[in-house]
Amino acid sequence: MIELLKLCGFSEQEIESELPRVGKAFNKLGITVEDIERGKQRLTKYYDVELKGVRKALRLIVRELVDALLVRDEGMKKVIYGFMAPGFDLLSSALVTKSRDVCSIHHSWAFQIVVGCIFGKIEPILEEAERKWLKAGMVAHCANLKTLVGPIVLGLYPKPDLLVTTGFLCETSPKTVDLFHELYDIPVWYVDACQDRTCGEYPEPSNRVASSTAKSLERLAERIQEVVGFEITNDMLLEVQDAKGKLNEAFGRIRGLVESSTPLPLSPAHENIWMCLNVLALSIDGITEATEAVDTLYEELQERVAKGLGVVEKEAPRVLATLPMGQTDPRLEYLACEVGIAIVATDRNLEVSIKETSEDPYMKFGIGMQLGAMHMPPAMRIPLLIEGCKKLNIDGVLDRFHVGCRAVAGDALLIENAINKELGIPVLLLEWENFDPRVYKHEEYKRRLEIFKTMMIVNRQS
Amino acid sequence: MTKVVILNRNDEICASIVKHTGAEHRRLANKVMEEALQQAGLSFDEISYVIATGYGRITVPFADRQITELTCHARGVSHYAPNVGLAIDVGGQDAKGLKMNCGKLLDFVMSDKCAAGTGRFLELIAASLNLKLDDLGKLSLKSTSKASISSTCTVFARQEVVSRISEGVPLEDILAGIHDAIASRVARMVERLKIEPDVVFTGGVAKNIGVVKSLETKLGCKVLVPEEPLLSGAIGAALLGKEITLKALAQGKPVQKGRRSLNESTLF
Amino acid sequence: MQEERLAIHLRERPSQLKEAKNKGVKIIGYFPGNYVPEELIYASGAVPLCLINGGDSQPAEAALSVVPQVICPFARAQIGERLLKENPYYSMIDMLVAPITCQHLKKVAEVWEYNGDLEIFKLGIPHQHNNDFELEYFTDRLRVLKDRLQVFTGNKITDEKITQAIGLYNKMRELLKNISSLRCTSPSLLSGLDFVKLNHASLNADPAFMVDFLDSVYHELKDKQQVTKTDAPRILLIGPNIGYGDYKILELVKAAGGDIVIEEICEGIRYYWNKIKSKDDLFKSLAKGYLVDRVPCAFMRYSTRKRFDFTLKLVKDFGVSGVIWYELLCCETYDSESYFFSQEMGDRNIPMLILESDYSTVDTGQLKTRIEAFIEILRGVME
Repeated sequence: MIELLKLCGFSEQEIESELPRVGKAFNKLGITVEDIERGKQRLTKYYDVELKGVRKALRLIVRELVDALLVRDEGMKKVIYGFMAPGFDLLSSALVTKSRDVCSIHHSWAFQIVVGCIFGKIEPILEEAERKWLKAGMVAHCANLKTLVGPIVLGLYPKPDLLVTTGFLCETSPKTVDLFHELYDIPVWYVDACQDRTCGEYPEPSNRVASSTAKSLERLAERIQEVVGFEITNDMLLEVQDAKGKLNEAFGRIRGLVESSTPLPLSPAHENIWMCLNVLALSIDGITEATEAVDTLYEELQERVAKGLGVVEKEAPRVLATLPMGQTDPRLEYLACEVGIAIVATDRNLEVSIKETSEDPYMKFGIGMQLGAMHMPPAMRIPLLIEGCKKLNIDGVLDRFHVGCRAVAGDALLIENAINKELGIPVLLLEWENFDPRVYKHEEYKRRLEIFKTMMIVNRQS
Repeated sequence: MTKVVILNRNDEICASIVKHTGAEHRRLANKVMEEALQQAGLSFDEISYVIATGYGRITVPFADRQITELTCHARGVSHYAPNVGLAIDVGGQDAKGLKMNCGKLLDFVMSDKCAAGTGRFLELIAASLNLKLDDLGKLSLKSTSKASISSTCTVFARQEVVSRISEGVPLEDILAGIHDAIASRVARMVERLKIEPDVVFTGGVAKNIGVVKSLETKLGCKVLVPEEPLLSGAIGAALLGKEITLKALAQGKPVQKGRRSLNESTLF
Repeated sequence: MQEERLAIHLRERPSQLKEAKNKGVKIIGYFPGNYVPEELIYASGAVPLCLINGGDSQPAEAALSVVPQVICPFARAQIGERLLKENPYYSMIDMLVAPITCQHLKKVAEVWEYNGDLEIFKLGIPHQHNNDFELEYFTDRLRVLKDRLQVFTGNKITDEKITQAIGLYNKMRELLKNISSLRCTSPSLLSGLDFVKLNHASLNADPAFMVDFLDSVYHELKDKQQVTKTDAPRILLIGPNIGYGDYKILELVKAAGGDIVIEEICEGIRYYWNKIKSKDDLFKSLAKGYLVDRVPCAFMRYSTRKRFDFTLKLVKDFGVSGVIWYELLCCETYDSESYFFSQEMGDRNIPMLILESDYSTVDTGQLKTRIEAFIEILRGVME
């Protein structure tokens, strides 16, 4: 276990002081000696753990999971969970900055990376959820939700004082949370906003929607204040947004480097780590630590670029992928690199840019929630995708659609048709599950990625 | 497959037939009936009541009544094991779970949309391995290290079998993995009904000792298999027919029968 | 007699609407779910037309060139109907008022918005109303809808016209409720299938005609009413919408000898069970009536317990012996909720059958077996 923790950026002293806690947490997860071996192999294979920045990031993620599992054991008084809850992460950071007695975790990001990506042991958790109300098979419910239901039902996440989710693009999560309320007697809360912007109300964010989103988040803040017993002031939130803004800028620098360099300096599997880092329940100091990790990585990547080093061959076909990277399984991203495809960007980062935002932290959030391509209907998402492809000199689009996510999956065919028609570049349509390793079929995916690569090379030449 | 059972007043089996009729079950139903009558030494008019059940129940022209296979299986299984709490039937094309109490059917689950978790799954695997279906179970028990095979889809499972063979995994281990996969599927299906002993397992797949053992492990309890696991539906149907007839006689009412003639049915 | 009258009206309705269109009347479509106030559309002088076709596999499959299979068959049927251009209603609408409810229907509105060939008004439905601002948001959107309708139709929507429309639709609700409730004492008067067809007719027929028609139907049935004892098991059918034309399950239940005495479905009971109470501010009244004062659909927050309690009361009031849950594949909210309902019904020893379908023709045999087995359980095989 010591070597594993070293690969995850733990220092010698830290290992000495934290080992009992980590051991206890891993015991709860049922991690065996074989699992640790497998974890080390997977870390070394799928992630660039020789890069200090990557190790620093992993450390924060492992620490959060350990904290989450031991929360009641360690006598934490107030425990709040968020799930698929943008906005909650802001309140979360404000809470933990203010008080060490509050545990406010945005599940299940850290769990997915550690149990899924590193140990490769997420399947039993998914199966546990499938014994309850979430289905497997063709009409599968999103496996993301299964990584919340499984651990709660198994007692890995102890019962919280409040469970929060949002319904911006998803009905499955709020319904599951409602069932937790009815079946397990957990107090719950929802943040919502109507997705009713029509033509004429894009691409600029709508004040009406921003305002109602802001109010909804404010009500959540009020509810949380009731639970924790102290106030969350606007200043606290602005401070968090400020710190996160710096973290996001740091990500932006890495993204810029990845987008503009060939050979591809960093495997797309790491994208998952950044996404996780962005929503961890970190205090302001923690966010600063995270920013330092990202900055460290940026320097290391600059060195790689200067030396002409990378993870895929030079001038490999440039691909934009829809959806974030696999969140419990890095095999598809690894396979893409092996086959010789450079996934330089995802549509998760395609955004509308605005000149100014609000001074009020809630309105700032409400405005920000409307900028991302994935949050928009196809009438706006597709033009952004096309623009993104042109700007980034994309050779092909990996049109993944996550079958569990009705909102985002619904656009998959429209995207394929539009990209074919407007840009004339190959599109690989891949039915997919972002959170379920069981869908990975090595032979099939390898074959399809190889054909995709050939098509892109041929298309480039002509 | 078409099965026929003729019972006498003392619930003894006078005749039982299990025959492949394939897609021609409508045309061949009467042939199978005639064979059964011959076996019992009876004429058709001596049969008091005929119940048709199963997928082709609507196409048995000489039946007095149709009752679903779920109700019939429940009746047949409770005759064999009066304390049955969960009855599992896995045939060639479908799988069912029946929740029962005191001989009564309370709830059920059915899986009839896909081959995984049915006898068809085993047939396909046997064919691709060039083995006899009847040998699969015994072979699988010889395994020392079960291979992991996907349980969600027959097509993928077959691909995995091929990969494992090329990797040099021993045949018994692959088979153990296959049996584990089908047992997992079945166990997952019936979990919804809550596992209550006695657990009875019927259908063609119940003759496979590998699946029986695997199922016992998954469910965590003993699984009972009747001597003739393919006949519980037909036995149940016959028993229900007897009950209907006796009840009518006891009430002094005429027995409601269908139009009866044992001719080969022609197409509509 | 009555049936003929209705059949003729429905047959002539498309050409009636085409004629009205030629005279400048607007035809305004909306999706079911019960969150779009038809009263506002009616008050604008336009014709409100509910887009609710379902049951046929062809349109649902045709839509697979546009959206993947994870979008529910009902939503795909709407997309498919407009693609196939065979159904006159789908081609003749001038505008769509799209309630933004579940992700599936939202996707239909978004696809048509992307195609750009139809005027669309997205009516945002707050998914909860525990907080003050949510009802205000909806009320405000209704006002904006009214303004848009005024501009689109060229007619002024006065308070008087709205009040009149509310009165008319309330009458429709009252009559549907009364007719439906007759089945409580006399289930043999009207089968579930016939009631649902009647309800569906009200979605496309001229409202004034329909109110008149329902009135005569009600009186005719009331006179025939008698408390009869049948051994047919009394069944409650629950699900999201039943598409217009999706009668397979209802027919199978009837053929198997079951009596569906009440349905808990979107375009049905959730529509007609409660009237709109119009107080001073008509928009506030409409908003409250549509969002708050009725049983919510499963996508609403905090709806699970509310919906269960409402359904349980129906089970008791209508003497129901078994519940049939009919959902379409991929409906994530109903799917999750079915787990809760089956646990709670199971705890109360109320048998419940869960059926899933995707409008395909091949599953009829399988549905028949399950339904027949369920009826056999409910009535005991002996009778």
